[in-house]
Amino acid sequence: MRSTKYIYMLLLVLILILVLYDHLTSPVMTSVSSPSEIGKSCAPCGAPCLDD
Amino acid sequence: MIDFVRESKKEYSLFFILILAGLIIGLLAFVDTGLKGIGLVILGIVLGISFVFFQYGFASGWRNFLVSKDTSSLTQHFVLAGLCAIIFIPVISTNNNIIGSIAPVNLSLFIGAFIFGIGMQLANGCGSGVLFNFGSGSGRMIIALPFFIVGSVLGTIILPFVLNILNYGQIEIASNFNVFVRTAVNVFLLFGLAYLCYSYGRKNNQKFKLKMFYGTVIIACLCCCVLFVSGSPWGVTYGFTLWGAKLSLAAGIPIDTFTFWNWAGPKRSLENSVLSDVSSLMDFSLIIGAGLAASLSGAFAKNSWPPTRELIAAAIGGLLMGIGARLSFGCNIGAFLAGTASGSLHGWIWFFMAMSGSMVGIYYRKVIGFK
Repeated sequence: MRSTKYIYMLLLVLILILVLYDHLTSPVMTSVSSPSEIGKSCAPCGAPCLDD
Repeated sequence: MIDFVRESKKEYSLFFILILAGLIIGLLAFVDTGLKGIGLVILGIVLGISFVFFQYGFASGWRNFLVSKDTSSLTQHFVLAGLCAIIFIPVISTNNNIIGSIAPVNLSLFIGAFIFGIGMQLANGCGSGVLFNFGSGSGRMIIALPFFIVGSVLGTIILPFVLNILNYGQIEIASNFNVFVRTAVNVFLLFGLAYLCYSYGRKNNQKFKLKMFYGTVIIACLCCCVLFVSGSPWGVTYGFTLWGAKLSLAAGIPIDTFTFWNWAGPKRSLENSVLSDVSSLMDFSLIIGAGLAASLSGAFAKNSWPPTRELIAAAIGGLLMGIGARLSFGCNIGAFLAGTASGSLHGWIWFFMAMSGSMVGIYYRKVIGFK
């Protein structure tokens, strides 16, 4: 169906523009990282441990 | 499985746009984060292609189990987790630079996974399913994804209030034993359940899906590669949360003042480029990979715009999955697969609660008029 394709392509271009805008206007770390890598995190999303 | 050779209607214009998007993201990732960044982009693209090629999903497989007692997909899911566990647990236990997907056992885990299960059936796709079907041009997932993002931002507002309710902390299975026994116990549990599912299927004359098994092995290998390259197991939904938070900030909502976004990890990811976040980078790449596979296989051309009631169900499902994923620390990939493969009890609880939620979701599918 053509309409699905055009909506998809529009979204794809929009996502790409937003990614580029965010990338160019935000600081960049020297390594890709996950939220659980810093702080005393007890979950993959970076939620703190029970005693914090 | 999609036949890449016989299908016609290839979408070359789309293919080249996706190649361009992949090159831009890959180049930016490489310039800023070197081989790790480009490695994750490649892995994400290959995962996207694999998911589309093998039509590897969780939601329909779980529904087949609950509705038709068809255990063939469930068998593969436990094999996938078992294969990953063989590598994950020893590597996580012996390497300080690699972190497992281990989350607390608390009330929000139970409720969140249950909500996720309902949403998964309404939207007809889990975290990875939404992502690769979105990449393949599914109209339903074009609607589900934005609502998933909204839901996951709502989840970040709720989580800090419920995190410590009935919180028993992180619980690892067989944690008192050495790494060898711990790995053996977890792998035995996962392969044991896979065998039970397989045996049940054999008794009911269900065919073993050999092609899906190849997909299972390939995806397990890719998951292990992600663990080695990124330093943590593959997760899907945190990326959605981060995109939602960044869009909220852009819309003037002071999301950065909320508790979740002041925890060290989320704060850092919100302040930095979206391409500095493992989950986001993998998600973008997976969309591109899925799109590439769908555009060349002809699968993309088959997608028609779904009827309104399906879109409403996808929106509600996406919203529920977003909230559920944040409350329960992930989706089928980040919580069930990565959790059980890391030897964390929360992965098992997530599985049983999401399966229970799926029963409710299937009931409402019937109410809506889905098959």
